[in-house]
Amino acid sequence: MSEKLLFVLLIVALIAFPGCGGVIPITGDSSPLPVQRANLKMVLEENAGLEIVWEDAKDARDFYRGGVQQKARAEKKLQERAYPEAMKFYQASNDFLSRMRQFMNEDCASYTLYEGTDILFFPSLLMADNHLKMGIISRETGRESAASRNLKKAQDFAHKSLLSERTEWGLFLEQEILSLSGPKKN
Amino acid sequence: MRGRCKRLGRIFVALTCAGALWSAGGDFSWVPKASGQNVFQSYTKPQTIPDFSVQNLQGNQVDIRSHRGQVILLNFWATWCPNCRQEGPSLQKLYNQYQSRGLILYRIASKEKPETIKNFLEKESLNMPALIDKTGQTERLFGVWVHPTTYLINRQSLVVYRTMGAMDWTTLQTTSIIDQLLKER
Repeated sequence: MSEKLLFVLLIVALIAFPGCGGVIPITGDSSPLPVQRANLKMVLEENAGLEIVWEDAKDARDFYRGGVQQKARAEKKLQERAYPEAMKFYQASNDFLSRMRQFMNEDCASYTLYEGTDILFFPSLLMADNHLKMGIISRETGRESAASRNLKKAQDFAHKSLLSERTEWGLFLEQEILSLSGPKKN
Repeated sequence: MRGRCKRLGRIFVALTCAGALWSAGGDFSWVPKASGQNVFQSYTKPQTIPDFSVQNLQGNQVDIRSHRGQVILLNFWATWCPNCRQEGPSLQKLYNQYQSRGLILYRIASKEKPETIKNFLEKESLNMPALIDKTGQTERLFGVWVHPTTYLINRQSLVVYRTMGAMDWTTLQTTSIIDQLLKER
């Protein structure tokens, strides 16, 4: 075997072996991660703190945090039934999360930031939830076509999330989306 | 002999690259843009520093709110982080130079034992104030995901600068930024 080939094999072995460990998605028939271990409340709490504004978001983590923080604001407005404001924050959340997904689009229940520190990382599922709630608001305000569009997007993002990480949270969300996806019942 | 050296050199480079990638967590999609590293990121819309309270190495509680109106440098680091080790001496020099001028400097390590930090600081001859973020909550509040990450806070309690990665804290760029912040009223 030539020296060059040995060298290339050495590099591939050294890089690939440790490098793949953290990114293999959990798929298939494995039982879903319980909702107690991954849910919206936990994600919102984990990303509260120093506020991220769009102009100052520079790195992947900033975009994820920004997306979650905007979502927290949207959830509050939704509870207050302040629909226009809620829609604005859901959209802002999606803008951040879409940008995040350009860096990385695999959901992961324990993403290792560095030694001993993992985070719940669910950009796709958060976008699914945003679109679901935008769909509900659209329907409430009589905009049926916007509702359908949002529910379709919600379904796509929930599917993407479940492909990379099967969670009860994602499965509940998927069920909710499906139950709302038909035409409005009067 | 020369050929063998070359071969050893290549193996060394390969091991170094692999080591660097391993220490990056094995996943490269989160590596920050090169332009964002080791330089001051100034915030266009500075946000207020989150409130937090953590223990120092003596076991006393330090509440960041007690430093309102002062210029603060918060350095998030870890004893196991090579870049943190690298920037330690220059940060110490900065502390020595600016402590008497009113700069508040804290190094915050998360989820480490006080003894580990004490031993490390003794070994490295560093005496900057160190705080322990036992649960990692303070790091979470700031969204730290790289060690070291440093924030500069002005007298209005606004986070005005951030750096990620090892810095030389004795450069003219660094000291002029801190001078400027100290001058502001």
